[in-house]
Amino acid sequence: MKTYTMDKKVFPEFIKLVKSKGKLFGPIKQKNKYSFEEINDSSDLDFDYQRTIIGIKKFLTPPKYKTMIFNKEGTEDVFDGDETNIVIGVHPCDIHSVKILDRLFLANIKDPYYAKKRDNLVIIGHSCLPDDNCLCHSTGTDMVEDGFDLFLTDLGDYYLVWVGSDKGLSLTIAADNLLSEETTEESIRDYVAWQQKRSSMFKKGMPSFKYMADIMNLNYDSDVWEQFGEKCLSCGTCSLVCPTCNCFNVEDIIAMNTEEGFRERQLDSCTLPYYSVVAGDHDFRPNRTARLKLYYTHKLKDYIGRWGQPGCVGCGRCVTYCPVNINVVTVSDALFGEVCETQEVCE
Amino acid sequence: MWKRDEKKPVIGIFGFSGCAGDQLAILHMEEHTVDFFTQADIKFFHMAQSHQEVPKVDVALVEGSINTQRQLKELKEIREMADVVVALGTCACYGGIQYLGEDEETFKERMKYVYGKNGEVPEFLDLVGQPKPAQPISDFIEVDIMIPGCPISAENFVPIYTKLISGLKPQKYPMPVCVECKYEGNDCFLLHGKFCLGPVTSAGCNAICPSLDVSCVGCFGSYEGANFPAMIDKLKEIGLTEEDAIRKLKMFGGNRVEEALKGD
Amino acid sequence: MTEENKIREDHSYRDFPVEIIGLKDLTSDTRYFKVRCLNEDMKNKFNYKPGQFVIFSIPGVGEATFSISSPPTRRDFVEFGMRKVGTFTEAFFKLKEGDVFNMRGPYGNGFEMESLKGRDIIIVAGGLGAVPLRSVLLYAEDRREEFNQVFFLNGARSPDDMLFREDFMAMAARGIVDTRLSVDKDPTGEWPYDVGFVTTLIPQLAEKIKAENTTALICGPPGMYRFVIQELLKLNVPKDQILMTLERRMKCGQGHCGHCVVGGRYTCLDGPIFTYYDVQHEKELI
Repeated sequence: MKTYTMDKKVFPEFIKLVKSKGKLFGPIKQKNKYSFEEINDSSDLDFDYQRTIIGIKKFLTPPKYKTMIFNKEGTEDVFDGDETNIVIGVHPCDIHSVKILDRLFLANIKDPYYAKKRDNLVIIGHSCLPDDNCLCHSTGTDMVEDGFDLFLTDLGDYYLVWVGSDKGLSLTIAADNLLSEETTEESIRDYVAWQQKRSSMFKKGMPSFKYMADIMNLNYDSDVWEQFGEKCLSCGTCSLVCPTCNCFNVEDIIAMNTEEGFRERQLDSCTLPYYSVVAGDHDFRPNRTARLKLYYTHKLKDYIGRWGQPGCVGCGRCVTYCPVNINVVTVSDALFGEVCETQEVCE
Repeated sequence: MWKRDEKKPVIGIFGFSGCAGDQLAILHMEEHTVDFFTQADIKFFHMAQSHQEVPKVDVALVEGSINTQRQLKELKEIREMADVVVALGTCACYGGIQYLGEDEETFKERMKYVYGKNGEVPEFLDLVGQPKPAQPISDFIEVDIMIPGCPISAENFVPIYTKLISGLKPQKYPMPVCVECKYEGNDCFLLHGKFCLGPVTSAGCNAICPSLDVSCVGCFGSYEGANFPAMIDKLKEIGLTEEDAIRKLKMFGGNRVEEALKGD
Repeated sequence: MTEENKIREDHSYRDFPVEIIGLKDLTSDTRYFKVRCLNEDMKNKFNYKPGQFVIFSIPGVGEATFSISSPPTRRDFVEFGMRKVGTFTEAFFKLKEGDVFNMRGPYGNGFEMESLKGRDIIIVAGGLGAVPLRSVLLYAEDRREEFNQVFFLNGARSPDDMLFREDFMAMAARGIVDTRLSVDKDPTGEWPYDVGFVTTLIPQLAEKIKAENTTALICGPPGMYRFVIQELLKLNVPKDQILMTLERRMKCGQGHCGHCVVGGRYTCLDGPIFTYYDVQHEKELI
């Protein structure tokens, strides 16, 4: 992996250059929240953030998008994503989430709608410092080696710029005059010191995360699920803010003239009441407890069985945004606590 | 594409007690208005046409809640003559704000207070019929489809309506306002200790209020998956009394809230 | 390859037009459909295994999943059976012979017929479960020499509710496949076969089969599985030789939409055929 350094003084120019290559998005502050929005220049950007409400998945699996338009004569596929979208300021957890989505949408049968958007997405990562809700240390997603095109590590007056792909490389070639190829001993020292500082900042951890798959398996019938099911609002927020949740519904919508229409994909949530209803109205998950169990077992257990890694990247969005405090930490802690109580294996 | 029948379905739009805002909302769907009147045979539209007698309609869109005996009789006649009955708007679906006065006893007292003469409530003209507490139409007849809203939104109404006039059955997939709110990428009021009824309210409004930084008051009525006890706990957590929380829920929640809280 | 075919194969959601060439009512609410590919090239390319499914599309109505009911041994057409239960089927039942709609697939794992060679096969169907299993059944009848004994046990609520009743009665008469038909209730008293749940047919095979050389294929309403499996286990049919086909709601058929997931398995990719051994501990199965 090629590495450069970039003086922060030239950062506005770098942004100008990047912006000339496509539509540029980055984290901006909106009242109490951050969001990836289109930016005009570097002054719009606010890198001092922990998480946007909706992650980078909004560029890859938007809440609603047309996959087909039709009329009396026939149908036509719609593939959004002709334009290059460049997103700057993406944290390692979100980059990991893209790797998970890539695996789901591209590794087996390739989803053409996702593929198109993914092909035209450029990811410029940015280093971050954790807040109390960040769990990426426990999920092993605090560092990222691939999945980005460029990655900027903020070391005070300058950035370390990692190149992660051909797309990233061609950006650095274009920005040749803004980057320095020299990596001094000082910058290596700075980097190591920064990493150590960052590592020491993680407060919330999930010591049990490693064995979560087994714990879920053993605790499938635990009362803990009922307790969470009673509290859950079935509002879907957890799924919609989770950067790896991608489940969707498909609906055909007919226009008022009844002569044309479109097919639309809509982000869905397995916590909604009709998620598992089949034709004939049989419901395989008729209550909140069953649906919540699906959400967490799928993310924290079944993903591991299928892909060797959980579907959680430790971004802390569910921790931050669930209105009733049901999240990967409270659920795994409760399940772990259950094991401790019954089997006296824990301290 | 699905070939609908050449013959245009006969539509009746009926209004009972409410503000008639849903009928108005239909007339206000400007880009759709011409198609609305040409794609189906609108035989009866209380607000837009003079009265016509119709023996039978394919689809009846029924707005408002029922609060006189005469309305109840008319509602049953509509059910008899319609293949599909759609409850249009929150009043028809869940009872609306007027459902707050649903209690029979306090209703009698209020009637006396407003209309009473020497402690007696006078006879009402046959034109209106004997008043009764307001209830949603689903309390009296089988409702095939509910399109809540106060008033209904075009985005929510059109896809369901066009399926119906194309001879198709719309797919039911209830979700709360929170889903649309997160589609819009909004922050959550409840997390900042502020009141919001998004989690217990039917979606369909595109989370327009939260997107404009205004809390959801629940005007699209109760969401089918709503967890009212948990919502009350949450509202108490942010400082409401249980009584206030229930009152807020009941404002638009109608019979669903009543039903859910019965055991408490 | 013609231009049109090239377009047809450019992505995984690409569907192709099929024409309804035959239909008939099977029961009061189920109907049989026979379709053919309109695209010549697709006609040759459309290969499938028994137990696989396809996704129908009618723009404006939507998409829905249907099991293939015909065997791959019979070419030039594909058959289906469906019950009018949902928004899609209600619309689909309005279609007539000659109408065209779109289809994509096939999807799912299907039955590995190769691995059944030389074995005793018990096909157990209940109600609508006869639709997907008919594909295996007709395959087995067409290629009877590939298998040892073949039993078909089919249950329905009443004679009127039995799908493909005449076909199955004819099959029983032919005797190529040992066909045993049962109805839960026989109001007229004229049913010439067994009366009772389909499970009661299973012990009849106790003396006939060699358990370790037997594979059972089952499909039926959710409530049926447990009892059928119990009976098969009593015959000592190995758990990994009890193959069941499951139904789940799905929006994509290719492992993306998430709706069909059961215990970490995608019904569309890893199923719809699962061995009882693999899913015996899944609580949300049926």
